[in-house]
Amino acid sequence: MDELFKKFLPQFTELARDRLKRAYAAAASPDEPTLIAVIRDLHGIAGEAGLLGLGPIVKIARSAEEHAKRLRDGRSEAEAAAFVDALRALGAELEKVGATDMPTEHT
Amino acid sequence: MIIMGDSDAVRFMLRAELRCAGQTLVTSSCELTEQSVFVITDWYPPPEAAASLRLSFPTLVEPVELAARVAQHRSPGAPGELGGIELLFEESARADAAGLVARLRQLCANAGAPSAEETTYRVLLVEDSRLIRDMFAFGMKRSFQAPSAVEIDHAEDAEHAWSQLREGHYDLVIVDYFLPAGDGASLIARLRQDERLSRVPVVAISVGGRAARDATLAAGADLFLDKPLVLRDLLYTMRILAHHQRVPGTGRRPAVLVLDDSPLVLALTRFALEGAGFEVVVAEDLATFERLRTAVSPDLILIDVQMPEAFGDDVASTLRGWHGVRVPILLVSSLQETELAHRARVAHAAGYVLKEAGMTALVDRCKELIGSAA
Repeated sequence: MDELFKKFLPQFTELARDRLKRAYAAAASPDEPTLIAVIRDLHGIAGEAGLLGLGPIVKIARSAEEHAKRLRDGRSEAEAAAFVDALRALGAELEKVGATDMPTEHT
Repeated sequence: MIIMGDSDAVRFMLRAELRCAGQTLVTSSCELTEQSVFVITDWYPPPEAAASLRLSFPTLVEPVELAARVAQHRSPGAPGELGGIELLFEESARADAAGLVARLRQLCANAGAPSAEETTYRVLLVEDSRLIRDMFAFGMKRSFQAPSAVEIDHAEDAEHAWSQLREGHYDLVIVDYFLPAGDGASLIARLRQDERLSRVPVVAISVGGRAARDATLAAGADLFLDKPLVLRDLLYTMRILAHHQRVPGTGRRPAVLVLDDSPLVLALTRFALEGAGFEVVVAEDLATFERLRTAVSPDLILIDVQMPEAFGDDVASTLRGWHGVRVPILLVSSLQETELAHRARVAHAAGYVLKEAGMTALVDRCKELIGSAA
């Protein structure tokens, strides 16, 4: 499975970069359709990371997904801030597996 | 593309890359003995010039480099006769040449013979001429003792070909260079950039001569054949390819149909399961899934749970209760285990796999359900 990891990790991190960018944008101006798409994106990160054997990323992506759901259900500044924190944690974890140029809330 | 002749020569249409007198030529036809090779070409290097020849055939013959020297030219004679050059192998290359001849003779043995374990070798012919398509169909009927050994699908243009390639599994693609609305070279280039399709052997065909040959080979075709085609040679090639495609001892490889809205998950799953010897077809949406399910008759179905069009457990439940599907169905998801287990039970699925358990767990579960394919 090492071969699988090497082959698909670049594609995974590239996709994750785009998804994180969308998620930060949704945190800045949350609306329901965008948040639904972001929840799906984060769910996708968790599933793909799981198949690649990236356990810590699965856990953090799931947590971010839960925060996104809470933000969708009750859009408050506190929820938005918690969601951004979760995205930061996800970006940091992705960098640990070699992903570069992860977006932040400022990019 | 190998024809056993009456003489000691074995006639091929291998991919031949000839480097000589500062030029490189890629051609696809030659006659080989242990001492010499005749390469069909319209370019004639000077006699005695040193040459290097690289011979290969996708999926069958690993590249072999042979040092040689130009011996003589042969100009085209009677209509249909092809011109070229004869090269004599250097002493140092004779053993490799003999090994290659032996390998090719071995490949020829029994090719095309009927077998109870025959798997179907699937070919996509991308060709807008109806007559050429009919010639293939007629030739195949005459050429194969077991009619189910090879199946040819047709596509009239590049876009239809691409749809068929994305949805189905093909062992060989034959592409005409001149196609309506697009050219064959662009289709080949697109295919070579695709994760799954990049390794499929591609034969380009055309009346376009050198320009078409250069364009299709540059795009990634394995072989280029000038029209008029020597159809007999191409059909013979398919017989050999089909014969050697079989998985020993099992006949047909168990087929797994995977439904997931993530292209990356589909690519990962395909890579791992094909590596384990399974035949894999994938669908990103329900329409494709339904088309493939009836076309392929899979031995196992893997379904993601959270998809935009429907929940996977509802799909599984409908397959079981409405369509009478009896092959095992596995739900594959990154949901929490308790919820996933519940959904699998209610849908009468054979079980579930958590994505976080990793690909090894998924492959092992498939082997448990439908046996090891390797």
